[in-house]
Amino acid sequence: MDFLYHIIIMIGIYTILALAANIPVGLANLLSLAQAAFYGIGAYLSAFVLLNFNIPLLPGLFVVAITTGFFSLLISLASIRLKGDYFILAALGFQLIVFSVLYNWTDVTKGPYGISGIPPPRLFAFIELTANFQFAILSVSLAALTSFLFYYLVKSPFGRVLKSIRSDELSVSISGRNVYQFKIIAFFLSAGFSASAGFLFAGYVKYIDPTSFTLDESIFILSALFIGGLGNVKGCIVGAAVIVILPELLRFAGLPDNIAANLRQIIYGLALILVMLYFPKGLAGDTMLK
Amino acid sequence: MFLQFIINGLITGMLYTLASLGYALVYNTTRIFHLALAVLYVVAAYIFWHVTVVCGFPMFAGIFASVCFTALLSLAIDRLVYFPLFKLKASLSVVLVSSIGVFTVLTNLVALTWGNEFKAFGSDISRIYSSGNLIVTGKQLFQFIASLVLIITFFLFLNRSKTGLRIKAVRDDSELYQVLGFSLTKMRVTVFLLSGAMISLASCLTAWDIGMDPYVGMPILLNAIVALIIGGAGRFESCVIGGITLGILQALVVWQWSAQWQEAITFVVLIIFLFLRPQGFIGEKSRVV
Amino acid sequence: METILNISNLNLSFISDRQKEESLFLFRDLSLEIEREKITALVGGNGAGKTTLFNVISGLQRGASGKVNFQGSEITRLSPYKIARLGIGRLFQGARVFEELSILDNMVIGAIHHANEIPFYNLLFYRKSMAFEKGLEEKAEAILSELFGSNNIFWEDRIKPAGNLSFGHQRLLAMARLLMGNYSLYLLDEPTAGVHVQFIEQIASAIRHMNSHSHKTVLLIEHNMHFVRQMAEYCLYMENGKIIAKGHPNDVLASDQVQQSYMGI
Ligand SMILES: Nc1ncnc2c1ncn2[C@@H]1O[C@H](COP(=O)(O)OP(=O)(O)OP(=O)(O)O)[C@@H](O)[C@H]1O
Ligand SMILES: [Mg+2]
Repeated sequence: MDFLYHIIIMIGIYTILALAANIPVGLANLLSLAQAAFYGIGAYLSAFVLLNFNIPLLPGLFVVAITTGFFSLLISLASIRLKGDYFILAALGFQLIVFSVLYNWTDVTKGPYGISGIPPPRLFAFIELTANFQFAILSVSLAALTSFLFYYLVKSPFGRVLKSIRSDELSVSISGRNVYQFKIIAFFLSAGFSASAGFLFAGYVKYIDPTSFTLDESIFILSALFIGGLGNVKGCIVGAAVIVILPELLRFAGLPDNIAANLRQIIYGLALILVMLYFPKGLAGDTMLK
Repeated sequence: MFLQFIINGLITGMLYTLASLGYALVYNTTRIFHLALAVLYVVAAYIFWHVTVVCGFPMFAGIFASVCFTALLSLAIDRLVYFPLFKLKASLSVVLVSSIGVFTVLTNLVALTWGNEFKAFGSDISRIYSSGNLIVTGKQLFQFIASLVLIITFFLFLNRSKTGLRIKAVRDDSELYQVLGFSLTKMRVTVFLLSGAMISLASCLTAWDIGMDPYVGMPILLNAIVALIIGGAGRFESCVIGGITLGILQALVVWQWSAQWQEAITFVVLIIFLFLRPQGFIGEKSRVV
Repeated sequence: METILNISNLNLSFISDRQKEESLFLFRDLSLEIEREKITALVGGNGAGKTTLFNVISGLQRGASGKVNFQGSEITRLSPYKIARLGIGRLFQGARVFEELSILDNMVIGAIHHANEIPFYNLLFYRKSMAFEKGLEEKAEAILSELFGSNNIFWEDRIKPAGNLSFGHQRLLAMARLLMGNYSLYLLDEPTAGVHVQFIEQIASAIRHMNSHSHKTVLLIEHNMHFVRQMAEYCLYMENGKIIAKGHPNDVLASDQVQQSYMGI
């Protein structure tokens, strides 16, 4: 049974991460390779909050999401100043710098040893979330909440402006919109959502280290998004389900773990190529990468 | 001590230059954000290792095999992935994502074939040359001479040969190039073959000294890209200026602080350049609107 | 006579300071005034700098010295979005609709920024937000039927992506979208260029609508001299970084100077 809960929790986490990436990538077409950095910052801040303060789940989550949001200013600034591949490169640089800081700033992050013994988050100051099934419920609820918010975002006038930025940035600004402000908010929301996935992850596994938040993880998150498809909630859920369940299927097929790990990556890589070439909308997306 | 670090940095910088030229060949002419080059670097090292260490051929045969194989693989990536996307008029972001896909697939194929663990070339203790406090190993000396010869040859080729001039013409204006009746398709073949060869040479020279695992490619490629950007994207001389600057800068970081901050500093430099001088040391400002 | 836009001593060069030479200036002490509620045409050869002048006015081109005054306040170094909010609307050269957005969304986004565009506003103030959206849609419908009749294809196909429209229709849509913004000055960059003749009359009526119906000022770049004579009440001729002739279109276009340099006669 725990195995099933584990799958559900991970699908919840990756749904949130894919939705978070969907805001800049799917709506505004800003290909951000720094999503794992937000996820990581969120997870480390959560560990810090859970270890040091005795605050309940929702306020804790909120604080972590907002704080991580401020880190996103570095990326939105880059998206304002830099065009096309220069922005992509800057986001990549940010991702690598964050990893390097998590890995090397041992005084604060404990570096490669990671942070262990993270206490479980508490709901309303008295219910400790320890059992996996509680986490599964939490994960599903948070994913549902994020989906709900995302759904309204896409439909909203705000989402409409993001989509028009994707189409033609100059025309948006000469229609009286401050494009910078929209990009800043988009990344802020993206970082905040990613951070809440980080919170779930840190609370669930109780031990985090920098290797969960590498460039590969950013690519992994984007794979979920592209395989599922851009621009809507459905695509993110499908994508998250695929990337979480697939490795388990490989394990069921009786492949040894080390081979299964490589094989899994090969399948994601192939999927990315095939999606780009033949199915630009992924399995269930509304739009495609431009 | 200072001079020792400068020398080490210079040699590393020249190896970056080679990798950077491999990247620039593709980027300057097609604007492809060619991240899959990272895995070509890895494949090149493993072919070299396999041919020399496993099969026991001499070093030059290994390098030759590696260059040929990598160049062909580079071409295959273009034919199978980039070129079809180009025909579909795919955007640069789409090509980049597919490039990440290629990178992921091939990296894991390498890991499946040769394993995840670190591999080194024989433990023959190479000669050491020293004068005063300065030490240069035989391998380093070889790296220095070989990359110097390669860089000079590359620029002679670029500036003197017909193909080289055509590469520069495509870089300046690929549409005009086609309008004048040249084939961009043929040019892509040349460019990808050369890029593969260049990255393979950079890889063999480096791996022979410090060994490899399936994941060494990406950091090197990122250094190569950073070198091109800080030199000034769009030109080939940038690779030399940027590569050597970066090599020496990293050596100084190691000297002053520690090796672990090398990567972070590299990217801080990159971001500073992107924001303050996106045209690099020698690039020109481009028309914004 | 009231002026709405006043440009004085504009200088712009794309060559960096060090190598500055007289002949490399795109604008050399350019000054001009645009009268309120009139249709003024800006004419000049290819590459004379007309589009760049629009870029300077709308804040997209930096680095020019000199002053741009709009309705009495200086807008010289303001951001494009602030200039738009002050009341300058612009039609770009080329089609420039939001191809992936629906025709209706294209229209609605033409309305100037509003609180509704704050994220989650539609969640927090559902009714208010819906009412506001409804208002914008009604306005879009009104403008479209005013311009193109009550059974126009734009309103009928309003949920289809604007990218499906023909070039001429996209151009018309872009004009209609401008009217959503209630601007006081419209900068139109070659509205008829590349458009099939069948649309030209509709474009002309849209411009007249801007001008006479809502009493707004229009500044128009055009290469179609017939269209200029037909539409404009005033004409500015631009060459060598300056306005070298101005007056009634017929007079300006008939003057020897313009005949020689522009028509090549
Ligand atoms: N950012 C820039 N950098 C360098 N040159 C520029 C820049 N912007 C415009 N130019 C040059 O300035 C000149 C004027 O361009 P502009 O587009 O304003 O001409 P135009 O009068 O609108 O011409 P057309 O009638 O063909 O549209 C052209 O020679 C153009 O190449
Ligand atoms: Mg123009």
